[in-house]
Amino acid sequence: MHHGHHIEFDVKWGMVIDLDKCTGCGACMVSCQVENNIAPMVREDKENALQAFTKTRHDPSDKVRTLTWMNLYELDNKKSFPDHEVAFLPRPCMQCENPACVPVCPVVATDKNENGGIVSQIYPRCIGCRYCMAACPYHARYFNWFDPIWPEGMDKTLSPHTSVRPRGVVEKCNFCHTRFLKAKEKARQEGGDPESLPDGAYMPACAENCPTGAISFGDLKNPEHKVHELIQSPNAFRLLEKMGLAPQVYYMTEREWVRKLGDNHLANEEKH
Amino acid sequence: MGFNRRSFIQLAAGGVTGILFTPAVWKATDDVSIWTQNWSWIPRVPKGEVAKTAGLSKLCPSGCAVQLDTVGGKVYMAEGNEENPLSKGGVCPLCASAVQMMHSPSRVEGPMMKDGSGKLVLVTWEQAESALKEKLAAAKGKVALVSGDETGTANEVLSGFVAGLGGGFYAMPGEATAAGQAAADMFGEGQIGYDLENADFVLSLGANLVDFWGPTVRNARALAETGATFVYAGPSQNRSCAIADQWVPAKPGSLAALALGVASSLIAGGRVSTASGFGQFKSMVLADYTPEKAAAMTGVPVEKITKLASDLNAAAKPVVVGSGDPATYAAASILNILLGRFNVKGGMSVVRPLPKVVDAAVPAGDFAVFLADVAAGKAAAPEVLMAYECNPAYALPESATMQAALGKAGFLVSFGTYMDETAAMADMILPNPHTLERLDDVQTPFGLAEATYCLGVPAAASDYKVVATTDLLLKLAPELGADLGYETFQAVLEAKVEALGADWDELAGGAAWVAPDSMLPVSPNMAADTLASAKVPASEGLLVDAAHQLNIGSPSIAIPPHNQVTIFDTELRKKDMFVKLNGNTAKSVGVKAGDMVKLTSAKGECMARVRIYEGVMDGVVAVLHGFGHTAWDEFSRGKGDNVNKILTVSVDADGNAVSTGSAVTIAKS
Repeated sequence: MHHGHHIEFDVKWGMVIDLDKCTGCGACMVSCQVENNIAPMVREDKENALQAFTKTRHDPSDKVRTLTWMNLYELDNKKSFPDHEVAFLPRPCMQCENPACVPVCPVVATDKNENGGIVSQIYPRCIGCRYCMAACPYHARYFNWFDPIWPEGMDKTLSPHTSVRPRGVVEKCNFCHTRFLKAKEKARQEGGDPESLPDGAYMPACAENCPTGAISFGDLKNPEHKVHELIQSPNAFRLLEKMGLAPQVYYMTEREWVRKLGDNHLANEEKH
Repeated sequence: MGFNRRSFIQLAAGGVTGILFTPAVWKATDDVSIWTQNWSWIPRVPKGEVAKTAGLSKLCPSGCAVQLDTVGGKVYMAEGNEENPLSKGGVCPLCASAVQMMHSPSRVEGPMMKDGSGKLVLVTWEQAESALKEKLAAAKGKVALVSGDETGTANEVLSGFVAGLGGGFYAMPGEATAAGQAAADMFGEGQIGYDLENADFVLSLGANLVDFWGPTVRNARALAETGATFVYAGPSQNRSCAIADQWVPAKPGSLAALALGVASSLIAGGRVSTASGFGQFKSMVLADYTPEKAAAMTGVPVEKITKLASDLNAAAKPVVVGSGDPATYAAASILNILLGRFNVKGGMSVVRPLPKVVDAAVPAGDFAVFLADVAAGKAAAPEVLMAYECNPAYALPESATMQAALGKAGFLVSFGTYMDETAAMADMILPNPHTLERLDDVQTPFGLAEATYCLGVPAAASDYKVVATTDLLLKLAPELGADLGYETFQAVLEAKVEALGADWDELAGGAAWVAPDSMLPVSPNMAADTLASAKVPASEGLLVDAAHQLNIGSPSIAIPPHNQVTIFDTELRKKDMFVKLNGNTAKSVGVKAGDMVKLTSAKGECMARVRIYEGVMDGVVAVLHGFGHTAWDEFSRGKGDNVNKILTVSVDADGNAVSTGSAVTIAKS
């Protein structure tokens, strides 16, 4: 366990989300659910003969216990009509450089130990204590309250990329890690360097399918990757930056009120 | 030497140490973690070769060109197709669920007919086919078919078939039909397109470009990438406003008047046009739509109207996009003509239609207008009414009236893939394959400036007993004396591809055919009759601004299971949907955030909770389409209420539906 110990990786996979391009359409969320075999909430568990005696599952539109590795938030400038403005913010796992979730895990089910800096989540190790969820200030982690159930027949469309998690474990976005492995595999087969993938060789599902191209993805440290340049922009910021977790997910916007919301400032706070 | 305490401890300690040197403990611990999470009912992921194949998803109205990911030959995911100009790598939130919707719990398993007790039961295709043939033969001249397909060559087959039987062919009302009416009035023919990619200033008159209007994926990409100034005019902020540079709040149903106000300001500033009817138009707007008069009608301040005019004047390549009703499309067209942005790159144009291959095909009438006539007793109810890829029992305004009119049809046939509201009330369901399971095409989605053609070949065999409606009708046509000259739909599409001079294999591989020259040279008539309905009638109560969001579905598709989580709980919480009012309006009508309210219009009622949202103008209540399904499945049934219940349809002198504004009263319940 790291306990504040910081590893600097040669490759740092990161996302830059241009909030001036995001329309909140939800295509990233749907792509994420499909790619990562996140089951829709289904009310009835046909396998559970004792359902009448067990806790009822939730209705699909009851979103208290749904799993959304990629989640959308609606932001506004808190002004009255007609000065009101709206923006949307997609929130994957931030893959923090100094993750708050990793040191608190009692069973090392989550770690940051691979070149690229993706915070892992090893489901079979997870004992479901949810310390990591309490620790994560971004609410990026989710607990499986129920066994995953697809509507009948829909399990024929499971993605081969992500194992299906049972109830009782925590899960989160891993930047579509299987896509990372596939990209490295492909690089090896084609004689390239798997530790230095070209821009675009590895793209998570959300970034790939965004209709507006709001989500860019790449190696933040590699000058040949678009994201390397994007994060230099004065409009780039990270969420709750002052907490020091150093997320590998950046946001961009020209709108100052949106940038201000990124750090949850107090009304009378002095500049730091 | 006996077995004493010491030797017991030694043995125990030795045993423990020994066991720790064997893998048994570690294996057991590992197994515990694996086997306590390895239940038989947790599905296993599929194994097999992972590949990609091209597909065409028509779940959204304009259609999405997609790449389908397959594992072991089975599709599991729809993604954007970078090679196709409609997608450029993006996919809409509805088509992102396309593969999963192949196994929607609402799929109709096979052909169904009502039995003696009026219950729908599964029958064989032979039974269904002969029953349909018998009904159609008996009802010749009194049949009608409504299609929800906005782009397909399928419409040529459907319309040719029903015309051959002496019946009427109708389209579900939508942006394409509204714009089509304006185009017929002003240009005589063609489909209106807007070249957003090459414009530097986009004024949207209520067109929710990124979420429902036209080819949303391409629109959104164009707006995001070009950096054009984007101004959205409309009663409330929708998702387009999240990327817009400016929001111009304007009352529901007043956007044509706003455009004419801007036109009058442009003309007063010296803009002229050589187009026919300019003189008549000029005197009309200068008299009836001065910025002051337009301000009174729209709620947009005079300065803002004149500022819009000067911004448009100053822009190098502005384009004005219409929406909603024929008058707004006509008014938007006129602004483009005045600005010299008609039939130019980066402007608005009339798009060359693609060649017709079924000679008997006829254009579609407006189904809402027809059904309103049936309801009012002005038109006879058809003896056989067929519904293709649409859900009129849910998606038409004044839904109570429309449902009753549908019920008047002697025999209602649904070609629905899903058990939607229309299928549930049908006498017969002949399920069409899902969009990824059938041969289909997309011809220039409405709104696109380039004449474009995409082909979709089946990406998967269906697990259900389905027959393509097109093939079924082509088979029945000669037997009913209405031969269309083709035996299969494949032959129809081959003829289409040949007529375009395109390559079948390339199209099937996901490429699009784009016309070398898309603009149809037409001479516009600025004295358009459709403008007569631009006047905003006085109304009492709140005005409804109803918006679609593709993540919630379309007029034909209810909320897909995976899309539930994309709906904010400020839109739908458990079973209650929310309507949006600003703080001022809420105060004036005496409601608070979270209140359960009843919206009552002249045509019906609708229940919702109140959300205070400052992105709505005074006197307006913003409501989302897509909720309140009564059929379908647990992902959409009984979630919220159907806004169509309170929307009204009015028909202008030319028989065009002009449903844009509905007045409601709101009361706590």
